[in-house]
Amino acid sequence: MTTIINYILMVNKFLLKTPLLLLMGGLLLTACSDDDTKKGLGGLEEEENQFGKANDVFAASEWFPGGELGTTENASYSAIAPGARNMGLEVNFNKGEDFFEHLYTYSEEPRKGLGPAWVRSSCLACHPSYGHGKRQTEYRANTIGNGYLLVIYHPVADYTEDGVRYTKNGSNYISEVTGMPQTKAMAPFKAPIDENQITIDWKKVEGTTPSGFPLHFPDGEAYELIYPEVNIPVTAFNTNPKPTDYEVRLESTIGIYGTGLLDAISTEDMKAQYAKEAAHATLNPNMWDAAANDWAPSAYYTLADGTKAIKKFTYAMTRASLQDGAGANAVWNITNVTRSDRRYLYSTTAWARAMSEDPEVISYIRKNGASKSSLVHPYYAESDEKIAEKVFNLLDMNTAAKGGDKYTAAFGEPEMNDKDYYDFMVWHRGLAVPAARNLDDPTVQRGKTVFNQIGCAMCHRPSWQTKEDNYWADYSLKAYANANGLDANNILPKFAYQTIWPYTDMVQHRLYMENDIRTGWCRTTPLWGRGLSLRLTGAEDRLHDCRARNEIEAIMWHGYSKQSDAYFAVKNFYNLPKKDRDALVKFLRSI
Amino acid sequence: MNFKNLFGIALVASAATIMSSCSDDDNNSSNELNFELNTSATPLVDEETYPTHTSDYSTRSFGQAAIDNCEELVLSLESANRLIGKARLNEAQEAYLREVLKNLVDNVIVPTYTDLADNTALLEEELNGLNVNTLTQTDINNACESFKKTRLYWERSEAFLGGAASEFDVDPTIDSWPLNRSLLLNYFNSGTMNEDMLDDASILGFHALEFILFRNGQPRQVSEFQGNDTYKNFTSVSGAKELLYAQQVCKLLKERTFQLQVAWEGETSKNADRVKVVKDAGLDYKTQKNLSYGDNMKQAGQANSTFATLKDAIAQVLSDDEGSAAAIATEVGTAKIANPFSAGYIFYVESPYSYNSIADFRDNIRSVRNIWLGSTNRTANKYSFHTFFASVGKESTNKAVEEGYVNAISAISNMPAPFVKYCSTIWNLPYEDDDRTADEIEEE
Repeated sequence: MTTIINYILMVNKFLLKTPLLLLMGGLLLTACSDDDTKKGLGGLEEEENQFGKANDVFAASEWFPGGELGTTENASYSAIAPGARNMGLEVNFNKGEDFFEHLYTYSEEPRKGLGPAWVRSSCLACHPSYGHGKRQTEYRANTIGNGYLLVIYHPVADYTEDGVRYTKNGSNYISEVTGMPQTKAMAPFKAPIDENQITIDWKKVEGTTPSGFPLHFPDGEAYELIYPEVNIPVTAFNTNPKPTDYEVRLESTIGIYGTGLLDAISTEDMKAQYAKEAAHATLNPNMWDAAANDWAPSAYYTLADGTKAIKKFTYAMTRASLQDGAGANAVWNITNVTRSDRRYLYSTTAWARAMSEDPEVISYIRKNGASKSSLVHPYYAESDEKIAEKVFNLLDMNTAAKGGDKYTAAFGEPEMNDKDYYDFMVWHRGLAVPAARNLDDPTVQRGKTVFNQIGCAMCHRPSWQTKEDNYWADYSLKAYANANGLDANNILPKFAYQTIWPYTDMVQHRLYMENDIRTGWCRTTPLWGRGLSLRLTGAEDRLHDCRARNEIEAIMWHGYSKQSDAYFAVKNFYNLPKKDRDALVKFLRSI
Repeated sequence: MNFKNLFGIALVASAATIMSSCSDDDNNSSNELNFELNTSATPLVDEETYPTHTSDYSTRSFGQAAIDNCEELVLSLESANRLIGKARLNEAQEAYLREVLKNLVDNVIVPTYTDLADNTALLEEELNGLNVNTLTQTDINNACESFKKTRLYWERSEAFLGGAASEFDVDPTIDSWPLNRSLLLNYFNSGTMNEDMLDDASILGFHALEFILFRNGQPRQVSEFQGNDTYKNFTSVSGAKELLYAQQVCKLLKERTFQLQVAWEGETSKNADRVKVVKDAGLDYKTQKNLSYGDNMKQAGQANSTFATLKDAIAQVLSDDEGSAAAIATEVGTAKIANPFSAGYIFYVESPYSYNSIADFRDNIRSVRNIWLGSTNRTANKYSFHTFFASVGKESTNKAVEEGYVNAISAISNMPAPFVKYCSTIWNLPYEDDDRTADEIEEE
């Protein structure tokens, strides 16, 4: 009916406004078309919009997973949060984005300082379209979308009761290469690991899972479980000594948006969550002392200025502040770009030694290093012995204590200045979470109900309230603030007192998957925004090594062993009617 | 062209358009659909050419006007997207907007990428035909012209980086800057050029070609190709080696432009040879659900499309995320112009060897215009956002967007050229492409 009225209105308007010549055009149209099939477009009427409104199942705030200050209404992983915009930080945000999006170079402004060895030459390489890494069948540092870090460690293994091998705490990283191993280096240096020798084989689970689930649901719908097996032969290591007794896993990036909001979750609120879960589950003893019902001493991280803070970032819970978290560190160590408070290299002694003993390295420096404008001039000396000594000393300057300052001094100034780092952190903290979608859809509403009923929300805790967000500021930020008469504690985007919906408890759990993550403990990954992944990045691989290609595979991996913290929830999921399984998936795609 | 003439041409064009809506051979029309449209409103369009402005280098208002007008354009695109996003679309509107997307794919995106691919193939052929022993200055000048023509189509594609270009990471692979000159030098010095070298995007793509072909805004001298380079630190590198490098880089560039074309167009009998090049290069060209990017957009709302709804696809095209029309207008204003102009970071100037920045910015905004008009020829297609808003009585939206791109293009063109000299003058910094410090220069 509306359409017909619109049509009449439109025709009226058309007749009143159209000059004679155009009417002739209209006549031409009628001359060859059937009048019955012509459609006027009518006017644009505003839809009754449910966005932002509460319904029987969702609170109004659930449309804004990042709270009012941290949510963008665009379907986007790259938008600025309203909180950052309100603080007038848009120019800084846009400039900071440049460091994320573009490639680093050896010596060209504005992104210089890459090397001597590096993991990737850009942030975007691991965070394609700002999202989660994409599943790979080979490891190449130059493949944009390869969000994998190699995780190489000495395994301390055990078996679950249903026979799944897993590694435990104490499965420490090998020391011959950096924790995030580098597979690229600047000539004449050789990468600590020759990536051409790395293999990734994808294997398929056959029959039933050790926990007893067939690879199809009771109604017959099939699913697959695949997982990677990674091998790096010892010949791939350009180190002295070479590592022994190690195994390799992959850990993928997750999206970056919303990390500023997680930084604003208070330690007190985290502690309450740990205490609540400790009452009915075993938590990582490295984080929680069950007997004392309190934080374990190793749950505290010592920040650069001596501040102790509870670890909350990365799968392995290794970092306590976003300003000393994955991104703030990565822009230094993934590229090996120095800055004012990190004047030293990300490297190992075993690599420095191997390079200093490599005749090809020495002869290249002898041949090319004499000119002051040569990139290898700082390694140059009068004799081969002295070149070898310089190579070892410079490449081994990997802590402040080892005289790291001298590394930067040998090459001039820090490669990333304080202003650029500040802009980068404005961008990092200021990335908004995309708004939820379709929460007025009855299927999505049913999905949420099922999600809560079967137990997913026990670990994927839907909501948190942020507190005052007195973020910790590192030395580079302080240096920038001091130089400009600013307060370092109020120059980054802040997200105080927001109701946020990340769907994580900020606690580590064990799932006991085949070829599981190192130590088995993995922080519950936030689910917010993941439903847009296919649309925004072209892929939607899930879990820490991208082994799940869709939500169903991801969920079923959670129940691979009966010993998994999530086994009970997966059992409930497995026995749901298809309609409810689909509703749950649609819910996941909407938040 | 005066307004009267424009009007006359538009009338003829609109009559022709209406006539074609009932002819069988019109690729754009659907058999079932026949809309009554308001095609009377001639779109506002930019001029075909603008004079180069080579005075007033110390006048700040030109740069600020370019930034402000880009921002206005962004706001108008966002507002247009919101109007559609919040509307209860009737059946005809929804069907019509599907035709808009279809037309965008068939008459803007695929043709632009095809032009880009054609011109890159020609450039490769041209470069491969060069030999330093017989090279003339005219050969180099011609190659530089071909480069700029190719570059134009790339810049005119930046309003639709969303989709294949972003998912296959084509932008960082072919448009990385600044050129990693010290890495390039390492490779030239190491004697052999191997596959590993051609794996690092920081020495590939347009800006690598630009460096080999241009210096200081001019085609390089033939003597440099026949002898050695004169660029700092590159003086031991022969022009013959550089030409060989340019040929290799252009081959890779061609593969990527073919990838963009076939990824959007899908496999056809006509593009089979290009599909083969893409396959042989090991490049992907389909979505995860095995669709072409064109079909992925046309099928918005269907099960295999990455767009859950028609409105989602429109939001991607107009404004929501990286790779949209609004995103490139934002980048031109807040980054490409503002980083050097407002913040004084001269080294952010893109295309520093060919001095092509202002043309690049202008073509970026023209890609927004093409999205809006559903054409590449400055007229509005009958299936376009322009005709949609005209037909639903929202002339004000057309006015805002069209004034937006016309004013942005005009303000960009008003900036004194070359852009690098303009920014350098504003900030009183040296603008020559030379990263030597004063001490180093003295030392020599």
